[in-house]
Amino acid sequence: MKKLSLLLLVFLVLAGCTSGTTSISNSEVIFSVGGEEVTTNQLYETMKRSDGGNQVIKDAQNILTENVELTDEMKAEAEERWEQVASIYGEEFLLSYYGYSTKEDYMDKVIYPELKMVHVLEGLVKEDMESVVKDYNPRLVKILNYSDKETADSAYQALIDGKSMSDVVSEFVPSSTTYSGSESVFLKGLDTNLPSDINTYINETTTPGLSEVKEVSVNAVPTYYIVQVLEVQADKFEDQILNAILTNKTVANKYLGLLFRNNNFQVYDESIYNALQKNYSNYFKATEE
Amino acid sequence: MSDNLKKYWFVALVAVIFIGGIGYYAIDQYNSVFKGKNTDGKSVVAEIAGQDIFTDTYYDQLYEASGINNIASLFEKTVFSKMELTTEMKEKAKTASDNVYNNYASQGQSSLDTLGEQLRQLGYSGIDDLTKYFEDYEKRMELIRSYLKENPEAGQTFIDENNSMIVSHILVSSDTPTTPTEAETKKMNDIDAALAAGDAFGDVAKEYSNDQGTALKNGLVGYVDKNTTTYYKVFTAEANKLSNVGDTSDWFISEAPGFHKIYVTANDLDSLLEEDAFLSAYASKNSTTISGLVWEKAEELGVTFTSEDVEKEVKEALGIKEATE
Repeated sequence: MKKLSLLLLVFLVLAGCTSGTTSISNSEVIFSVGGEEVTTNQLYETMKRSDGGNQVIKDAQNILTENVELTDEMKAEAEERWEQVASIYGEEFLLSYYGYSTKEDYMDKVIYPELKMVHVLEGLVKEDMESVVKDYNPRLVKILNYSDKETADSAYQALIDGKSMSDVVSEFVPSSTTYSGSESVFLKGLDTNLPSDINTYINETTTPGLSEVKEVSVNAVPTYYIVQVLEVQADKFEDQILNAILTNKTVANKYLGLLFRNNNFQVYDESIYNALQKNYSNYFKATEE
Repeated sequence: MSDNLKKYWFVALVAVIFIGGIGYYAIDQYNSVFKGKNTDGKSVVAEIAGQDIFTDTYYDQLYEASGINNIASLFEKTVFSKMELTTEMKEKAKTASDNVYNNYASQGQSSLDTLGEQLRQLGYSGIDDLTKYFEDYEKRMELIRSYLKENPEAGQTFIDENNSMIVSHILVSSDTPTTPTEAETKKMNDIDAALAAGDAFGDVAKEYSNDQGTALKNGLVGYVDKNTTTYYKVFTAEANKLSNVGDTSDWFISEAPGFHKIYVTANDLDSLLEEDAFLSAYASKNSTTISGLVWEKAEELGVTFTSEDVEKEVKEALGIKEATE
C-alpha cells in the first residue's frame, strides 16, 4: 500500500512539473548590476515575449517553402516589388529602420520568402479549386459606376452599340475609381463596397453578358451601375482567380492556416502558443475551422 | 491481513477511493499540461512538416533582430529593480496601475489584451506586470528629479524653452458656447468681478467652476507646456499664451464644452519637480541624458558585462558616449 501511494505521489508531482517552456542550451551571464545577474535565458524570455511568436511563423514558412526554386519570373517580380517599396520609403531608411544590411539581405529575408509562399499557396488553392468555386462563386467582371442616370444610360447605349469598354470609359468617365470598367475577379461575399443588389446580380448570373443600368440607392442617394460579366467558368480564368484569392487577406489567411494544419504545425512553448492564438489560431489543428 | 481488512474495511475503502482520485487527477493533469519536446538533447520550440525549429536557432534569430535593444531594456529594468521603492512611489504606482487597468477593462477584454501586448513589447510579462511597469516609471522619474535638483540650470533651460507651467482653470459649462445664456454670462461676470476684487483664483474656482474634478482641487489642472497633447488643442494653445505666475487668460471656448479661464499657478523648478508630467516631458526630450543617469546608477550599484563588445553595443543603443570619445 505504501509503495503504491508513493508511486502515485511521484506520478502526481511529475505531472505537475511537466512544462511547455523552452530554454536555450547554454545559459550564460550577460551582465550583473548590484550583484544581480542577468543571463541569456532571461534575455531569451524577454525577446520571446516581444516577438510574440512571429519569428516562429517565419521559420515555419521558410521550411514550407525551402524546396521552392526561384524562377526568373519570381526574381523579376521581386525586383519590381523592391523598386516599389524603395520608392515609397527610400532605400536607406527601409534598410536601416528594419535592420537589413543590404538590398540582397532584404530580398532574401522578406521578398523572396513571400513570393515562395505565394507559389506554395497557389498550388494549394489550385487543388482546392472546387471548394473555391463553391464558396466564392468567382466571376470575371467589368463594373461601371455613375452618379447620374443620363451618363449611365449613354454609356450603356454605347456598349450596346458595340463600343469597347475602354472607349466607353474614355467618353463617359465613371464616377468611381473602384468601379471604372477595369477587369476584376468578383468573389462572393468579399467585396464589401459593392451594394448588395449588385452582389446578388453577379452571383446569380450564369452566362456572360451585359446588365441593364441598375439604380441603387446608397444613403438615399441614387447611383447607377452597369455590370459586364465576361466569364463564369472558373477554369477559363484560373490564374486571375488565384491572384484574387491570394491578394485577399482573409482568404489568403484561411489557406495559410490550411497549409500549416496540413503540415502538422506544433508549438512546444506554452507562452509562444498562447501569443500565436490571437492572430494564428487557425494554424493549429486543435482549432481547425 | 484478512482479519485486518475485515476489521478496517471502511478505512481500506476510503483509501482505495482516495488513491483512485489521485491517479485520475494525475492522469488528467498530465494530459492537459503543455508538453515540451527535445531532439538529440536540444530544446525544440516548434515543428512543421516533420522538421524541428530548435530553441537555440530561434534565440539566435531573435538576438540578431533585437538582442542588443532587449539587453538594454533588461539592463534598465535590473537597475530599477535594485533602486529603493519608497512607500510613496509604491502608492503612486499602484494608483496609476489601477486607473489604467480600470480604464482598459471598461473597454472590454480586447483592450486589456492590447495593454498586455504593449507591456510584452516593453519586455514585461504582460498585464500582471502593470504595477511593476509603473514602479519602474516612478524610479525613472526619481532619477530625473534627483538629476534636475543637482543641475537646476538644465531644468530652467527646459522650462524657458518649453514654457513649462502648472495651470488651474475655471469652467462655465454651456451647451451653446457660441451664444451664452443670460445665466452663463452673469456667472462669467461674477467670476471676473471676484478675481478683480482680489479673490484667489483657487477659491473662485472652488466656488464657481463646473468642472467638479478640478474645482475640488482649487481648479488645479496640472502640467502644461507648448508640446502638451493631453488636453484639447484650444486649451493648450490658450495656456501657452500665458507664461508668468498669476497670468490669467480671457474667457475662451473649448470642446469641453463651455467657457474656460486659465490661470498660471506655478512655473518654478521646485514646483515642477513634483509633477511627473514635467519630468516625463523632460525625459522625452532628453532620452540620452536619462540613459546616462541609468548607467551612472548602475555604476554606483556596481555593473559588469561579460563581453566588452556587448557592453559597447548596449551603450550605443542607450546613446551613451564613452568619456574618452
